[in-house]
Amino acid sequence: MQRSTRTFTVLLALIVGASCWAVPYFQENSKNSGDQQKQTDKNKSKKSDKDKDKDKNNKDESPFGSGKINLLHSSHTSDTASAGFNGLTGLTPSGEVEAKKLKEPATGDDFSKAEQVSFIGVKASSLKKFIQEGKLNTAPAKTETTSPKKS
Amino acid sequence: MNKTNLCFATVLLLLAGTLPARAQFGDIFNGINKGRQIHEATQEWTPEQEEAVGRASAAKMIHVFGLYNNSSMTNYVNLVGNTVAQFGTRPVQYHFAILDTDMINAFAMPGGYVFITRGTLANISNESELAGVLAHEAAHVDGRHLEKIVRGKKLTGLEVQTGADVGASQVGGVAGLAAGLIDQYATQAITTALTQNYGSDKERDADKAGMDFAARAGYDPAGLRNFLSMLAEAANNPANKQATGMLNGKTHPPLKERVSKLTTLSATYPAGGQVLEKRYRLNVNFGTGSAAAPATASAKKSRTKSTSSK
Repeated sequence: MQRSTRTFTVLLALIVGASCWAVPYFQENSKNSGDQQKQTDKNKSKKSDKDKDKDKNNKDESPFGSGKINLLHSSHTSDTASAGFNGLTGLTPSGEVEAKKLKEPATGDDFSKAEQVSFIGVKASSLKKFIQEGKLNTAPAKTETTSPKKS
Repeated sequence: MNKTNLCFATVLLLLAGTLPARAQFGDIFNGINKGRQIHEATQEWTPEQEEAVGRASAAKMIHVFGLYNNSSMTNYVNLVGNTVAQFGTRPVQYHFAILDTDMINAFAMPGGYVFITRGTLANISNESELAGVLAHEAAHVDGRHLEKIVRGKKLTGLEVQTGADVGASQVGGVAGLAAGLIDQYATQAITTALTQNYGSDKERDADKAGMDFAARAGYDPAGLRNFLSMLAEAANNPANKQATGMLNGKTHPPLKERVSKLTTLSATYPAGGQVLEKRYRLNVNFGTGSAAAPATASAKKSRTKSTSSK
């Protein structure tokens, strides 16, 4: 009898203890699923707003000039020349970046190239010469330089 | 025996007591965490943080479009860019680079990373137009425009969750910003730059400040206006929709609207300023079939008209 009372008490303690941790866990989970639902709703409404904007933009297209200008390609191949500008890779026909491309993470190679870009700059002497040659102006010197050190 | 039962009862009570206590402490910890996030989101980035987010954003931009490798042309773009950017209000080390796409646009990332596309360079006709475009982008950096948008998004809980992708593993934590957070900021920056409008106030500010930078540097203040005027006309040709679609209303206000405002604004500056067409042609040359001259008679006419009307 004593043993069964003790066992019962231990079991009860275990159940209560487990519920202590389980309740907040389930609360968190239900909150997350609620957030996800909200996000989905938000995306849906965003999408419909986007469609509305698209329609609006289409309606807004009023003539500005003759519209006869052909833009220039910097790399003319027979393909690009015949396709006009409506053959650019990675872009939708309306000129937006393809969603798939936008979601892709940058690769190690991209990070190396970005690092190369971070070292691009001009020497003060070259800039001075360039400004003088173009009969341009130099800005008054700035007192502080807070450019971060490159690692 | 009674003692044992009392002991169990005490343990039971203690365990039961942890339920509200945990909820309470959890709330306190969540509050502290939220407070830290709000503080982080309202604080301006330090130069180190700005540089880290800028570089991560640059990597993503390079991933989307690729980098155009032409050191002499890149150097020229940097000389023009730095000539106008020196009139900015804060000391930023600028890095101008060329994206390998025929699309027409330019982008300013935090930390002075400014990208102009190959297509833009091919359709610009002189140095004052290039200076106008780069000055507009430098003004975005100078005003911390993209940073403010990204921080604002974090504050309102709209951040993009990227998870542990390759990007996150490539970016090391910097000056109080965790690697994952830098990657999130960079993703937000790139998504904003490529799919959204910065907002009419920020674009108007950048157009105004950019024209000021260009004019103070000694360039024709109407450079940007002249280039956009040509583009506004070109945008009406369906063949150019893909190249101009993003710039015309998607990432920037509609071209005709900007041209109209820039025309009014440029009238407030004294006429004159350097145009430097010859120097531009010497430095930006894509070889056969390149932008040696406007493609059509109407383009020539349009450019002459817009230049003389300043």
